[in-house]
Amino acid sequence: MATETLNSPDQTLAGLYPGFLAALLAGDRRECEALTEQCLGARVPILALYQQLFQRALYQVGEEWQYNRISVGNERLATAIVEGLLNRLYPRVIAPHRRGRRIIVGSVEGELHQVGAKMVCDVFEMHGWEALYLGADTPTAELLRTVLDLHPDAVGLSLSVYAHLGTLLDALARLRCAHPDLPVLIGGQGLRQVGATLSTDPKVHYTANLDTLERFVTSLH
Amino acid sequence: MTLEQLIDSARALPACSPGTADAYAAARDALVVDVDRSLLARPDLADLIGPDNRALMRDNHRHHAEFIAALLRHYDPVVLTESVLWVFRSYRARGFQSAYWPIELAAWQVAMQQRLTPSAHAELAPLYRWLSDHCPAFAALTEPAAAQG
Repeated sequence: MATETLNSPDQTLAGLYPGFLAALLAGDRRECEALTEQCLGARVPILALYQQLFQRALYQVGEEWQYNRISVGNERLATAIVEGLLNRLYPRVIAPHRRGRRIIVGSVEGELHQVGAKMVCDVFEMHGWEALYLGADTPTAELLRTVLDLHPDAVGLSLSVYAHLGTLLDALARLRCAHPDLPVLIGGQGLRQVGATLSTDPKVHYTANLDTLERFVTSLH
Repeated sequence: MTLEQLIDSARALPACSPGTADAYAAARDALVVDVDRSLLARPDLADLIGPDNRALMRDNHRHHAEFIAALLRHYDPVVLTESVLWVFRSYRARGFQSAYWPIELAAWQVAMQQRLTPSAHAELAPLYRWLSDHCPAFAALTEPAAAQG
């Protein structure tokens, strides 16, 4: 017990990660929930939990799929379990103090991955923003219509697969044409190499991970 | 050849003009149809891609065209090299043979010659030649022994 309380969040997460990954690959939702609760009990910050447990494990699941060591069904089940965990954590994510600011986040048209974009929304919620997630495969025209209807203070676009880059560039151009001053946040695995150099527009901001995202959100206050 | 050497050689590829990138994107669906048809007509297809992998092969052709269209709009040698390695690993793990890619890439070049203008085809030729020339290196780097290491 004494040892456990001395563990840093990083140590706690590193210790629980192998079991979490094994449970995720086995489709064991209850064990994943139990390990998540254990992290929370050890006062692991939610952002660290997202990155060092959920994100790390899902990247490994992707790696396992790449080598055909797990099926598409295993991969989807793992994703669904993590999405369920994010939903369970959501009440803890919402900051009591609201800032009266709103962001609309979507995964670009054709993009089927959505866990990262949901985490982005949660980071904004932690900082008192209202974060509205439009879902995976958001048609650009519908994104533009929603922006027109809801007047957000910022828009976030997620890209996990590089092949959809053209769609992202088109969405950025159309957003900029309709809303010249609206800040747009871009991120996701598909931008890992090119995100920082993709746009020269000073209102387009690339965030490489949740830590840089948090710093960006803080800078907006 | 190491990953770093592959990336360095990809860095030396000439840039593609916006007009050619647009032409490739516009012809994308037709190119996929041509490449599908070319590969599906081969009597040795099952030897190249493994049994029951035709749908997977068609997915690969569609993803290839989407990826190249994106790459032509915002070229990055690391993205190119790492993506090709990912493709080799993923598809070889599902029964594709290394011999498939040189044949597939030749089919893309024939399709582009037929669907694109001579100048657009000439602009794209170095990229496809680079892909073909480096198939042995991609295969070597994605051998199961290399993957374990």
